[in-house]
Amino acid sequence: MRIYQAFIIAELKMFLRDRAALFWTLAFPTVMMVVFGLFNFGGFEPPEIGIVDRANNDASKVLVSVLKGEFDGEPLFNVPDSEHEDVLRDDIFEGDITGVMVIPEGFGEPGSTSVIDLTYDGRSAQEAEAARTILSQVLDGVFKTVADVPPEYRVENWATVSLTEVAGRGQGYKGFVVPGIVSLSIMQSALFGLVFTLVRLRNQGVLKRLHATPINPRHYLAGLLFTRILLLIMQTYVLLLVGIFVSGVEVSPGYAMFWLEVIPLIILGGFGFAALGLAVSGIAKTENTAAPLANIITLPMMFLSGVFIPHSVIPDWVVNIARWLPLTFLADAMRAMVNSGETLFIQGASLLGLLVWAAISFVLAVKAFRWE
Amino acid sequence: MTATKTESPSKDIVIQVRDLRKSYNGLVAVDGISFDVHHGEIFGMLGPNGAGKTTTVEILEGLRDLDGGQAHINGLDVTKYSKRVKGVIGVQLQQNAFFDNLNLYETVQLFATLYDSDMSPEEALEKVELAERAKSQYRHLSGGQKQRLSIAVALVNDPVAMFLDEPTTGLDPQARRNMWDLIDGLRSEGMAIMLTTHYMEEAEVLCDRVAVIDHGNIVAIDTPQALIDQLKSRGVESVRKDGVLTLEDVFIDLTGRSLVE
Repeated sequence: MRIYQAFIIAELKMFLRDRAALFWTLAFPTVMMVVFGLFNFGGFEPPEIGIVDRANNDASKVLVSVLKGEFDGEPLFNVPDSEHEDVLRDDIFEGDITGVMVIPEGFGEPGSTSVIDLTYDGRSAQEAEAARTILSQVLDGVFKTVADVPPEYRVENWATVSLTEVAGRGQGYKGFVVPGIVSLSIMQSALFGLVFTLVRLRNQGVLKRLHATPINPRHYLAGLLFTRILLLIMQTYVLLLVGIFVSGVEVSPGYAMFWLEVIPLIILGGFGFAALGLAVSGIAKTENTAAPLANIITLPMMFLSGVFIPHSVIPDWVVNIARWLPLTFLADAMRAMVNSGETLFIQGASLLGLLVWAAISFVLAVKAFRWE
Repeated sequence: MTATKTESPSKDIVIQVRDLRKSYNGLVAVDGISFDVHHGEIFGMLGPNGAGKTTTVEILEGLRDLDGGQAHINGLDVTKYSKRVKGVIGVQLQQNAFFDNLNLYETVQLFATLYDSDMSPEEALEKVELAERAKSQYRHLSGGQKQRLSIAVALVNDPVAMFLDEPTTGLDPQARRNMWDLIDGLRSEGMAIMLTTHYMEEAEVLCDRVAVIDHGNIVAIDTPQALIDQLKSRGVESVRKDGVLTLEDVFIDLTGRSLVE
């Protein structure tokens, strides 16, 4: 026990003195998170607008068809299947759609002026503005030229659009990317941290000197892993706080226990990636071969595990493979907890996946470990 | 087993090596060597790079397996009881390194714990005259200080045997002389000291006995003076301008080659 303790204390001192490592562990993911938070990948897509058609007449049907792109094949809105106003309003709240437009009764009837209400998520103001512009243009122009509209509906100024803002908790791409980068940072810090520390110490001959003492590898490695996991917990907290205060993302709304429950998730994920790093350091001979090997393992996960590229834009067959990657399990569980305030205890599938990966990595690490 | 060099088992033998063999991928590094090192003795292995000195020492230190023969330290078989052997020896490796970001006090303290020793870091650092640098980090030390620290670390468990693998290679003459004084002082502590070197002067100054090793074989084993006297009695001439015979001449006489390329 004294030996474990001695290594933990020594490792902590060394880590805190290594200012450069400390800086990069925190600074790089912070910058990445803030920069990605500025992007709005959703903006390239037609806005997701639910339609409730209370008029249900010829005019309203034509309007809906135009918006859905049933005339010339280019949808102007992405329209969800549901037409129930309550369901759609819940979808806004959850961030699944940008807004709901309600076509009032009597829409387009001669002599009347209708107001189409477009209710939108306050966090997606730009998208809502785009949706209103589209809607106005459709109403002003396209609608009038469509042949099937009976002449009696063709009136000037027959419809206007009103905007209603609601506060939803959908957080758009920022909400998606913050837990993603938190998870990615756990992988990078655990894997690269172990690889570079061990390869350097082995090349310097420090590990050989430890091998000349009557200890076992586990005495040394336990201290190294313990320190690294403490660091991962600290790093995750810092990045989540950056997410809250810089990116303006809500973390685990309404569920404060998250901040404790996230720790076992960090330990499980961090242990697996650290063990993988240990295996890489055993297989690689020098720093020059260790870095490419570590990158070959981490790069595909960075892009395929749904960290900052959503699985919805990746082909299904790739997703079917990517869902088994350890970073996917970690990011899925992290995202469910951070975005939806879910508890750790219902992340069974992800935790099981991480556990299997950790076991495989640990066996590899034990086989590959070398003192010199 | 080479019976010729085998002495009768004596109580003061600390390191006993018999017919030690080791090959790497078919390349013979150590080709059946035998020797003993006694309490209070400094035993030198003198030979050029690649002669098999480090391989021999690292087998004794429990860092490598042997292919044939036997080695005992303090009566313990080094392959069967490598952990126990590691606990009673002091080790200075050829490529000697410690954690960059720990200071000397912390380094010695850590290793004292690994050896389950009660020696205070101050005491160990005092012995190598590094007490005043206790708060310096390892990476800020000079080459000579790093070597002295490695001796302090090797002393933390009060070893019965000490292995010094080329302790002065790469040091300037001043630091080398300091190191010689330090090693000479360790002799009085009563441990068996085994040192490898390719500096004949170092072997002459420090060693009670030397084994001249070449291509994995011991080609001669005796006190430095006895080896030189043999040459003198045969009328061999020194390669030096001043005509003084040294271990360099012994090595040339035995192998036909110079020790330092």
